[in-house]
Amino acid sequence: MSGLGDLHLSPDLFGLVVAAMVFLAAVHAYTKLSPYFCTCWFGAGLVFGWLWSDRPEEASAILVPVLVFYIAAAVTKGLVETRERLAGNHVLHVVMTGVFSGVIALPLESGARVMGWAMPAPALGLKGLMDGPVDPDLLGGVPILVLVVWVIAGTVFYGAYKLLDHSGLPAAWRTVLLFVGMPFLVQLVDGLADQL
Amino acid sequence: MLERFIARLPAVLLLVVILLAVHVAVFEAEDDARLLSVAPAAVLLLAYLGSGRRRRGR
Repeated sequence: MSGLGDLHLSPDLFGLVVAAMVFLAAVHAYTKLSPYFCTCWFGAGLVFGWLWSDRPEEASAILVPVLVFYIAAAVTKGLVETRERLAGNHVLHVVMTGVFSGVIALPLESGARVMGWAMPAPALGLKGLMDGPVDPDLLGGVPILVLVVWVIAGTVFYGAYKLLDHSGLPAAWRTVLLFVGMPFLVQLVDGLADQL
Repeated sequence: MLERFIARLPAVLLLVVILLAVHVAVFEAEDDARLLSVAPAAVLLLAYLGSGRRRRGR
Protein backbone atom coordinates (compact mmCIF):
# COMPACT_ATOMS: atom_id res chain seq x y z
CA MET A 1 0.00 0.00 0.00
CA SER A 2 1.39 3.34 -0.97
CA GLY A 3 1.18 6.34 1.33
CA LEU A 4 2.37 9.91 1.61
CA GLY A 5 5.72 8.62 2.75
CA ASP A 6 6.25 6.97 -0.62
CA LEU A 7 5.77 10.23 -2.49
CA HIS A 8 9.11 11.58 -3.64
CA LEU A 9 9.13 15.33 -4.27
CA SER A 10 11.79 15.33 -6.97
CA PRO A 11 12.92 18.64 -8.54
CA ASP A 12 10.78 17.81 -11.60
CA LEU A 13 7.69 17.21 -9.49
CA PHE A 14 8.40 20.37 -7.51
CA GLY A 15 8.54 22.31 -10.79
CA LEU A 16 5.14 20.91 -11.76
CA VAL A 17 3.64 21.78 -8.36
CA VAL A 18 4.99 25.32 -8.55
CA ALA A 19 3.67 25.75 -12.11
CA ALA A 20 0.22 24.61 -10.98
CA MET A 21 0.37 26.98 -8.01
CA VAL A 22 1.29 29.91 -10.26
CA PHE A 23 -1.67 29.03 -12.50
CA LEU A 24 -4.03 29.02 -9.51
CA ALA A 25 -2.58 32.28 -8.20
CA ALA A 26 -3.15 33.86 -11.63
CA VAL A 27 -6.75 32.61 -11.60
CA HIS A 28 -7.22 34.30 -8.22
CA ALA A 29 -5.69 37.55 -9.46
CA TYR A 30 -7.76 37.50 -12.66
CA THR A 31 -11.10 36.85 -10.97
CA LYS A 32 -10.69 38.68 -7.66
CA LEU A 33 -8.71 41.71 -8.83
CA SER A 34 -8.55 42.42 -12.57
CA PRO A 35 -7.22 40.98 -15.83
CA TYR A 36 -4.90 44.00 -16.07
CA PHE A 37 -3.45 43.38 -12.62
CA CYS A 38 -3.05 39.68 -13.37
CA THR A 39 -1.19 40.30 -16.62
CA CYS A 40 1.09 42.96 -15.17
CA TRP A 41 1.88 41.19 -11.92
CA PHE A 42 2.64 37.78 -13.35
CA GLY A 43 4.25 39.10 -16.54
CA ALA A 44 6.56 41.41 -14.62
CA GLY A 45 7.12 38.74 -11.97
CA LEU A 46 8.26 36.19 -14.52
CA VAL A 47 10.68 38.70 -16.04
CA PHE A 48 11.92 39.50 -12.54
CA GLY A 49 12.33 35.78 -11.78
CA TRP A 50 14.24 35.13 -14.99
CA LEU A 51 16.61 38.02 -14.39
CA TRP A 52 17.03 37.33 -10.67
CA SER A 53 17.62 33.61 -10.91
CA ASP A 54 21.03 32.17 -11.44
CA ARG A 55 19.33 29.04 -12.85
CA PRO A 56 16.98 30.45 -15.52
CA GLU A 57 16.95 27.10 -17.29
CA GLU A 58 14.91 25.69 -14.39
CA ALA A 59 11.20 26.56 -14.45
CA SER A 60 10.72 26.58 -10.69
CA ALA A 61 13.60 29.03 -10.20
CA ILE A 62 11.78 31.52 -12.42
CA LEU A 63 8.28 30.84 -11.09
CA VAL A 64 8.91 30.79 -7.34
CA PRO A 65 9.57 34.55 -6.84
CA VAL A 66 6.33 35.73 -8.48
CA LEU A 67 4.38 33.05 -6.61
CA VAL A 68 5.91 33.95 -3.24
CA PHE A 69 5.36 37.69 -3.80
CA TYR A 70 1.75 37.10 -4.85
CA ILE A 71 0.85 34.97 -1.84
CA ALA A 72 2.56 37.53 0.42
CA ALA A 73 0.67 40.44 -1.16
CA ALA A 74 -2.66 38.59 -0.99
CA VAL A 75 -2.15 37.66 2.65
CA THR A 76 -1.16 41.26 3.45
CA LYS A 77 -4.33 42.52 1.75
CA GLY A 78 -6.43 40.04 3.72
CA LEU A 79 -4.87 41.03 7.04
CA VAL A 80 -5.07 44.75 6.35
CA GLU A 81 -8.71 44.71 5.23
CA THR A 82 -9.90 43.80 8.71
CA ARG A 83 -7.90 46.58 10.37
CA GLU A 84 -9.24 49.96 9.33
CA ARG A 85 -6.39 51.98 10.81
CA LEU A 86 -3.94 50.12 8.56
CA ALA A 87 -6.05 50.37 5.41
CA GLY A 88 -4.49 53.48 3.87
CA ASN A 89 -0.89 52.92 4.94
CA HIS A 90 0.78 51.93 1.68
CA VAL A 91 4.30 51.92 3.08
CA LEU A 92 3.23 49.45 5.74
CA HIS A 93 1.56 47.25 3.10
CA VAL A 94 4.79 47.14 1.11
CA VAL A 95 6.92 46.33 4.16
CA MET A 96 4.46 43.65 5.33
CA THR A 97 4.51 42.05 1.87
CA GLY A 98 8.30 42.02 1.97
CA VAL A 99 8.43 40.40 5.40
CA PHE A 100 5.77 37.85 4.44
CA SER A 101 7.74 37.04 1.28
CA GLY A 102 10.57 35.94 3.54
CA VAL A 103 8.23 33.95 5.77
CA ILE A 104 6.68 32.14 2.78
CA ALA A 105 9.99 31.51 1.03
CA LEU A 106 11.54 30.02 4.18
CA PRO A 107 9.83 26.57 4.00
CA LEU A 108 10.60 26.35 0.29
CA GLU A 109 14.26 27.25 0.85
CA SER A 110 14.46 24.67 3.62
CA GLY A 111 12.97 21.97 1.37
CA ALA A 112 15.21 22.98 -1.52
CA ARG A 113 18.31 22.40 0.58
CA VAL A 114 17.32 18.77 1.11
CA MET A 115 15.68 17.95 -2.20
CA GLY A 116 17.78 19.93 -4.67
CA TRP A 117 14.78 21.94 -5.86
CA ALA A 118 15.71 24.78 -8.16
CA MET A 119 15.27 28.08 -6.37
CA PRO A 120 16.41 31.49 -7.58
CA ALA A 121 19.35 31.26 -5.15
CA PRO A 122 19.72 35.00 -5.50
CA ALA A 123 23.45 35.21 -5.54
CA LEU A 124 23.65 33.76 -2.06
CA GLY A 125 26.33 31.23 -1.39
CA LEU A 126 27.91 32.13 -4.70
CA LYS A 127 29.10 35.41 -3.27
CA GLY A 128 30.45 33.84 -0.12
CA LEU A 129 27.81 35.14 2.25
CA MET A 130 28.09 33.68 5.69
CA ASP A 131 25.27 32.19 7.74
CA GLY A 132 24.60 35.42 9.65
CA PRO A 133 23.99 35.95 13.35
CA VAL A 134 21.24 33.32 13.67
CA ASP A 135 21.95 29.59 13.72
CA PRO A 136 20.53 28.19 10.43
CA ASP A 137 19.24 25.15 12.37
CA LEU A 138 16.69 27.45 14.02
CA LEU A 139 15.34 28.28 10.57
CA GLY A 140 15.17 24.74 9.23
CA GLY A 141 18.68 24.85 7.81
CA VAL A 142 18.28 28.18 6.01
CA PRO A 143 20.80 31.01 6.67
CA ILE A 144 18.97 34.10 7.86
CA LEU A 145 20.64 36.16 5.14
CA VAL A 146 18.70 34.15 2.55
CA LEU A 147 15.57 35.18 4.37
CA VAL A 148 16.64 38.82 4.42
CA VAL A 149 17.26 38.79 0.67
CA TRP A 150 13.74 37.43 0.11
CA VAL A 151 12.37 40.22 2.32
CA ILE A 152 14.32 42.79 0.28
CA ALA A 153 13.14 41.28 -3.02
CA GLY A 154 9.49 41.20 -1.95
CA THR A 155 9.65 44.76 -0.67
CA VAL A 156 11.32 46.09 -3.81
CA PHE A 157 9.00 44.23 -6.22
CA TYR A 158 5.77 45.19 -4.47
CA GLY A 159 7.06 48.68 -3.73
CA ALA A 160 7.73 49.30 -7.42
CA TYR A 161 4.31 47.96 -8.38
CA LYS A 162 2.57 50.05 -5.72
CA LEU A 163 4.50 53.16 -6.69
CA LEU A 164 3.46 52.86 -10.33
CA ASP A 165 -0.09 51.94 -9.35
CA HIS A 166 -0.45 55.21 -7.44
CA SER A 167 1.54 57.35 -9.87
CA GLY A 168 -1.52 58.57 -11.72
CA LEU A 169 0.02 57.58 -15.05
CA PRO A 170 -2.15 55.95 -17.73
CA ALA A 171 -2.23 52.15 -17.63
CA ALA A 172 -0.18 51.84 -20.82
CA TRP A 173 2.68 53.89 -19.39
CA ARG A 174 2.56 52.04 -16.09
CA THR A 175 2.84 48.75 -17.95
CA VAL A 176 5.80 49.89 -20.02
CA LEU A 177 7.59 51.35 -17.00
CA LEU A 178 6.95 48.22 -14.94
CA PHE A 179 8.54 45.94 -17.52
CA VAL A 180 11.39 48.31 -18.37
CA GLY A 181 12.08 48.71 -14.66
CA MET A 182 12.53 45.00 -13.93
CA PRO A 183 16.28 44.82 -14.72
CA PHE A 184 16.86 47.83 -12.46
CA LEU A 185 14.83 46.27 -9.65
CA VAL A 186 16.92 43.12 -9.87
CA GLN A 187 20.08 45.23 -9.78
CA LEU A 188 18.72 47.06 -6.74
CA VAL A 189 17.96 43.79 -4.93
CA ASP A 190 21.38 42.37 -5.77
CA GLY A 191 23.02 45.63 -4.71
CA LEU A 192 21.25 45.62 -1.36
CA ALA A 193 22.06 41.92 -0.90
CA ASP A 194 25.72 42.70 -1.49
CA GLN A 195 25.61 45.07 1.47
CA LEU A 196 24.69 42.24 3.85
CA MET B 1 -18.50 26.22 -4.63
CA LEU B 2 -15.83 27.02 -7.25
CA GLU B 3 -16.14 30.73 -6.40
CA ARG B 4 -15.52 29.99 -2.74
CA PHE B 5 -12.49 27.87 -3.64
CA ILE B 6 -11.05 30.65 -5.77
CA ALA B 7 -11.66 33.21 -3.03
CA ARG B 8 -9.66 31.03 -0.63
CA LEU B 9 -6.77 30.35 -3.01
CA PRO B 10 -4.17 32.46 -1.15
CA ALA B 11 -4.77 30.34 1.97
CA VAL B 12 -4.74 27.14 -0.10
CA LEU B 13 -1.45 28.10 -1.77
CA LEU B 14 0.13 28.99 1.57
CA LEU B 15 -1.07 25.67 2.96
CA VAL B 16 0.52 23.82 0.02
CA VAL B 17 3.83 25.59 0.68
CA ILE B 18 3.64 24.46 4.31
CA LEU B 19 2.69 20.88 3.39
CA LEU B 20 5.59 20.64 0.92
CA ALA B 21 8.06 21.57 3.65
CA VAL B 22 6.40 19.29 6.22
CA HIS B 23 6.54 16.38 3.76
CA VAL B 24 10.24 16.99 3.17
CA ALA B 25 11.00 17.29 6.89
CA VAL B 26 9.02 14.20 7.93
CA PHE B 27 9.28 11.78 5.03
CA GLU B 28 12.26 12.80 2.89
CA ALA B 29 14.84 14.22 5.29
CA GLU B 30 13.41 12.57 8.42
CA ASP B 31 14.71 15.61 10.28
CA ASP B 32 12.08 17.12 12.57
CA ALA B 33 14.26 20.20 13.15
CA ARG B 34 13.39 21.29 9.63
CA LEU B 35 9.82 21.79 10.77
CA LEU B 36 11.04 25.02 12.38
CA SER B 37 11.08 26.58 8.91
CA VAL B 38 7.31 26.04 8.73
CA ALA B 39 6.40 27.72 12.03
CA PRO B 40 6.32 31.38 10.84
CA ALA B 41 4.30 30.45 7.74
CA ALA B 42 1.85 28.45 9.87
CA VAL B 43 1.34 31.45 12.17
CA LEU B 44 0.79 33.64 9.10
CA LEU B 45 -1.78 31.20 7.72
CA LEU B 46 -3.67 31.15 11.03
CA ALA B 47 -3.67 34.97 11.16
CA TYR B 48 -4.93 35.14 7.58
CA LEU B 49 -7.68 32.59 8.23
CA GLY B 50 -8.67 34.53 11.38
CA SER B 51 -8.92 37.78 9.43
CA GLY B 52 -11.02 36.01 6.78
CA ARG B 53 -13.44 34.88 9.46
CA ARG B 54 -13.68 38.47 10.73
CA ARG B 55 -14.32 39.73 7.16
CA ARG B 56 -17.15 37.27 6.66
CA GLY B 57 -18.58 38.05 10.11
CA ARG B 58 -19.08 41.73 9.27
